[in-house]
Amino acid sequence: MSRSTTSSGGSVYVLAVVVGLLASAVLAPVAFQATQPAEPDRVMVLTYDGGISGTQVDEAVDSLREARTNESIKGVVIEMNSPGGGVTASERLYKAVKHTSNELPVAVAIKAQAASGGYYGSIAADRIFTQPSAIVGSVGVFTSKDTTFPSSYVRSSPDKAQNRDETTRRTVEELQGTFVESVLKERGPNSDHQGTTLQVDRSEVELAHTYLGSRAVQNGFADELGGTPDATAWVAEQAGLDSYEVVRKDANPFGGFFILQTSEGTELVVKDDGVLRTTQTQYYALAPDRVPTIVASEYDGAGTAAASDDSDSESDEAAPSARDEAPALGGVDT
Amino acid sequence: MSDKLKAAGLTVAIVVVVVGAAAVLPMVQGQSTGTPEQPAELDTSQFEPDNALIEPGPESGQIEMSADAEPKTIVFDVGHDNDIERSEIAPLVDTLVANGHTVRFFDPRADPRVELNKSLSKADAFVTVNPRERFSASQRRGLRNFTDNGGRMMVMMDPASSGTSFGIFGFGGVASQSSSSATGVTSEYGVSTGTSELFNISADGRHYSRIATTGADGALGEGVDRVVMDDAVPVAVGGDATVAVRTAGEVTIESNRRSGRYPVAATNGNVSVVGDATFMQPDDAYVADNEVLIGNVADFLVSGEKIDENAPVKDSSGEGRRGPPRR
Repeated sequence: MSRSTTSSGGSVYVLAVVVGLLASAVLAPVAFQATQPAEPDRVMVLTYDGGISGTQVDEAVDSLREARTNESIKGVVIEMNSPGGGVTASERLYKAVKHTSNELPVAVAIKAQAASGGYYGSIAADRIFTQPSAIVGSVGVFTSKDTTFPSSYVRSSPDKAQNRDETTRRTVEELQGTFVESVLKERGPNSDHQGTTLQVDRSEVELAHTYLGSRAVQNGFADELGGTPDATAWVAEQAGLDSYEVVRKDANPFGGFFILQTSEGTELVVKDDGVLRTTQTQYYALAPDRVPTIVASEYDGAGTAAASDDSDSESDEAAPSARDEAPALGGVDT
Repeated sequence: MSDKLKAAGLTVAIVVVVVGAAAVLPMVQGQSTGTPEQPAELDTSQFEPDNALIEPGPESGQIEMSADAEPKTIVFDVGHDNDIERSEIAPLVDTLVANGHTVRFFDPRADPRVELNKSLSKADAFVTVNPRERFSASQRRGLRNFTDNGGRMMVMMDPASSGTSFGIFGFGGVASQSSSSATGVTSEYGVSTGTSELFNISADGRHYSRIATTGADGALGEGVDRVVMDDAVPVAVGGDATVAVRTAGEVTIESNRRSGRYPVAATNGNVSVVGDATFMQPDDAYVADNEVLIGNVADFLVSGEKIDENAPVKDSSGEGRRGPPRR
């Protein structure tokens, strides 16, 4: 009697295990899903404050990629405050913004200036908000003329490390051409732009004027007056969000273009981590009249590549103005 | 019976353990990162080479002189702080020399005793490009005498630079002083040069300050269908002067933004004034018809006939030694 009870008890255990595993297989995924932390909808506010150089754009491009790949981020606001910078870096920023606006609503909120490269980075956005007295525009490029190759070197050909004036002029013309074409493609009368399209013709754009925000809204360089809260609310509305969180990103904790004034003349430099470095760029989409000036005699460590330890106070004075907007943003579901 | 209870208990235990682990796992594992994204497919056709690149125009032709003149002497002015490099006038100088004429340079820095009027008395033509110092009264009188007697004079001005260094960011507004320096000379002949450059914003890939000009009347403009000038100023023409070269189409004056077709070169008898010196430079000498205009300039310089070989007669007020620059 006990033997048969044992054998039937054994098969009952086996059955129990099988049933248990089957039930788990059904219920476990449900439990897994149920305890995934709920991702709130988010709007990324990316601050771009300063000149446009390679490393600064790297950070912005990375942030924009995160916005595209992180499913919780439903829209992007770029706080733009830049006088521009290198042409190549500006093109990269333009393409990154364009890529993002293909997938998410993107708005730009111009704080004090979006000039030249700063404007290049703004045109691909779905909407440009601007402060009324911000500076917008400057669609043009410049470069320094080549200095004569020093005669103490021997080179392999006359064009090594030196361009004819004519070649430089043509390159400037080509770069201006692509810049203007990009502006027209994004905001021109024949573009897909949903806001205010350009009300001026191509030759006016080529003149590289800067406009006050109010004028920019009138002539189509910007869409409407407003700041970061307006831009964020607009993006949220485009994305159909009832409630959302704001994720703040800063594209350039250090750095920026400055004009270094020495007794020998002026030079364009990039401040990188408190140290001034000669910029590598040759062609600029930059509005130099919007760039702060550092007087070399008042700056410790000017022109040196070694790290300078007492440059911080000077850098705070010389740096472009910090965020003016109070970060009261968005509605959070209670 | 207890076996069945134990079995049921085992089933429940298994379910609890497995499902519980599944529930806890996300909290332990953390956020999953985004998937790597594919490259964007953006419409950025404006950057494609076919759309973005500008091809340079052809450079061809020879600078030729057609004047059949006996050897003449041409004096080039470097004594009024002229904003011109020797290399920039090389095509013109080389053409003159290659055709048997003598070229001299008026340079008081080399010899302070040298006087302009004395140099002119041995010359048949005088060329001054972008003088930044004014000509003295005595020199102006000498030049008048020189040209009245058949000597030829060519004045070339462009607003390029006034010689002041602002570094690469000259945003103080670099006002050219060079034009006003020559107007004291040229106005006597009914011509004055402007101070603000001409430009043409257009979509044809040409740099904004590079304008097209065409020959008008007279020997200077003959055969000149299209000359390209990089830094031209408009030339005001009055009195007996005639327009020799004017802009081919509408251009704009930079200072006041007025548009129109402007004269850029004029001739009055033995004097010609051109509002640009860039057309002669080696980089541009063989573009379009520039070489034709250079040849016409060379011809103009050697086609005068001096009535009084020694003109200008030495000034009775005595030019004396060259003093400090007077403004």
